[in-house]
Amino acid sequence: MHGHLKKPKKGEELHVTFITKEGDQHTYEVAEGDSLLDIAQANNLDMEGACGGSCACSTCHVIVDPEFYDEIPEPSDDENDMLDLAFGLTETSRLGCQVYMDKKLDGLRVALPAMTRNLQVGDFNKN
Amino acid sequence: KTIFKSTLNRFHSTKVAIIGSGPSGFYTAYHLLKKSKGDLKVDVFEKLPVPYGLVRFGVAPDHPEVKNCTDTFEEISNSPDFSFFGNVKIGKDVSLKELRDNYNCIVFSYGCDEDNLIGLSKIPGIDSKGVITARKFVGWYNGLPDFQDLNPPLDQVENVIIIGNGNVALDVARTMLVPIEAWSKTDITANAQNVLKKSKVKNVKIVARRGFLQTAFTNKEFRELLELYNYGVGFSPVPTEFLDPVRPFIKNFGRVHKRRLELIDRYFEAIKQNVNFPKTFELDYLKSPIEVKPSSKNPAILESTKFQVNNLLEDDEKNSTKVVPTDITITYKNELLITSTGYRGSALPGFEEFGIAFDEKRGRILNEHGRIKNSKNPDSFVDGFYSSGWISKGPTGVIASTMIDSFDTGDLILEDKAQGKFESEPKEGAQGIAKILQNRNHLYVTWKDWKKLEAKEIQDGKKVGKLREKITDVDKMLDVLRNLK
Ligand SMILES: Cc1cc2nc3c(=O)[nH]c(=O)nc-3n(C[C@H](O)[C@H](O)[C@H](O)COP(=O)(O)OP(=O)(O)OC[C@H]3O[C@@H](n4cnc5c(N)ncnc54)[C@H](O)[C@@H]3O)c2cc1C
Ligand code: FES
Repeated sequence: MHGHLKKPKKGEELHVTFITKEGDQHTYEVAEGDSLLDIAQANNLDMEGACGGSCACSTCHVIVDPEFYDEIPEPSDDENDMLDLAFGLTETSRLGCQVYMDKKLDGLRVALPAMTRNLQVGDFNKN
Repeated sequence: KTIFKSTLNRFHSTKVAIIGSGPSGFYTAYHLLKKSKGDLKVDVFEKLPVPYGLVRFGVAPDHPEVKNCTDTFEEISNSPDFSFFGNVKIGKDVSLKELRDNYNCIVFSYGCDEDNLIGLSKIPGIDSKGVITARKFVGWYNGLPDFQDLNPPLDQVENVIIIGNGNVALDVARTMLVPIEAWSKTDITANAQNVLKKSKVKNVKIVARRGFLQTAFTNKEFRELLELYNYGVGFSPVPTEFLDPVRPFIKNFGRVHKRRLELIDRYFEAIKQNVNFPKTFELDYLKSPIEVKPSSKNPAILESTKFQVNNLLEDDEKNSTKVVPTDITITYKNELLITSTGYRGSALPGFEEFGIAFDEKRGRILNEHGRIKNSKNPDSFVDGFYSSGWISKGPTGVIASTMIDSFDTGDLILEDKAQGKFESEPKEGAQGIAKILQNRNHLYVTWKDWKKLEAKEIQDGKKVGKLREKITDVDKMLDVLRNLK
């Protein structure tokens, strides 16, 4: 199961900020090699990861800050196949289980997409 | 991660019954238990002794990663506010009225388990033995009890035609084309493994009524099929008559179609290096079957299938296309025809009594985002009833979209609960239903029972190096449980 991250070594902490669908920002200190899925799940953010990080479900979809998008190695065919199915796909969408932290990505910012019709379809209000 | 709060007040909690234990049932349950304040109990009813719906009986055996969603479902089963009633068919073993009497809220998540044959049922020869629906074929290799006697005559078949253009069609094609070793570690049934071992299938033609741009399969499934060239399965070029007309418009394509065309070109380039493939598949468009001819020598198989060639009329204004039949026909030699034109749902006994509106044409419950329409007054909803998943949205969409739909339905229920819609008299919930079933001497399967069945399946699988060896017969499942008790 997910949720266990290694503690970053002193002086080697990397930073990543998640913006939740409510607009809250959370910044974490993480270690090189952690996937965005693992980080999100360890911190109880709303990221399902239904296939357990095996690139087979698209429920770990994140929207990457365009400033960082090109720093992430290009998506594989497998990731592109699943991105095809991601809800609310954008130009800088990636799968959280396929993006691993490294030094170049220190300071990375990603947003969690609204995984619900309610916010997309404006014909009835949540509140 | 702990997601469940303890129940504050068991007795006065809102009792929710969910009908169906596929992804929609489980994701609805998950969302309710995760987001409620611990004042809600959820019971899932499943007609089969085993849970998970199409995750177990639909998703292909060589897609084990897709089935990982059951890890989450497993987690739900640990909640003290969750119960499972397997081997309980609502509308037969327990009536909808009895369920309503024992619960504040009912969610229909029972999926689509009929064939959607559209116009096919009128075609001469369609009742031949050599015609099988994809739903039955998939159920057969995945161990769905209803279809264990299907045993398709693959040992007598070289040419297969599949009608349809969705992922299910591609699953079926892949199943018939991959080398038999591909199954050796999976959870495909032992019976299917044996039949596939003897298979003589060489060519699979996937025929669509409409054109390339209307294909419904995903690139993931398509690429898996293209990748089979590494295993001796070639890909016939898509005839230029289907692709050339669309190429000039590639700029306007969406991402999915752009990639699809790019995949065809890229893989074809790779495949061209080798022309002697022992097996092939091909995509064919703009044809509708009009006659099936069974073999005169062997009733188990076909001789050929006749198609009518279609024209596609595009209506740019409405952004729609229309299929227009021409006078041209074409006959393909094939010994087996698989129709993969989709699934459909059916109404449950008791819908009329409660005024639950059912869309007979599309085979789904009439609803608005999971709130169910009243059949007597289409402007109003039926209180206390909800829907999610395929029976609610129609039989399309992967597990991820089914999940989102189920979360939305869960949110609606919580909203209605917050507004006091369920505060009628307390309901008995699981205990009430257990009493009814015990009085009827009806054996139901608890979650603990299922785990015992599953342990046996996994153990039996281990002996032969497979993920699991499914038990494929309902009586056998129940016998195993009786013997363990
Ligand atoms: C062949 C096939 C392959 C697929 N492959 C993939 C894939 O690779 N990846 C992916 O993401 N998605 C895949 N899907 C889609 C996925 O299976 C569906 O999105 C999902 O299963 C729909 O969930 P559901 O709960 O609505 O229906 P179902 O999964 O059908 O669940 C409905 C459940 O209700 C039960 N039920 C029915 N009637 C009653 C009753 N009267 N009382 C009690 N219980 C009842 C049924 O037995 C069943 O268990 C595939 C679908 C098919 C058909
Ligand atoms: S967790 Fe399923 S695709 Fe990333």
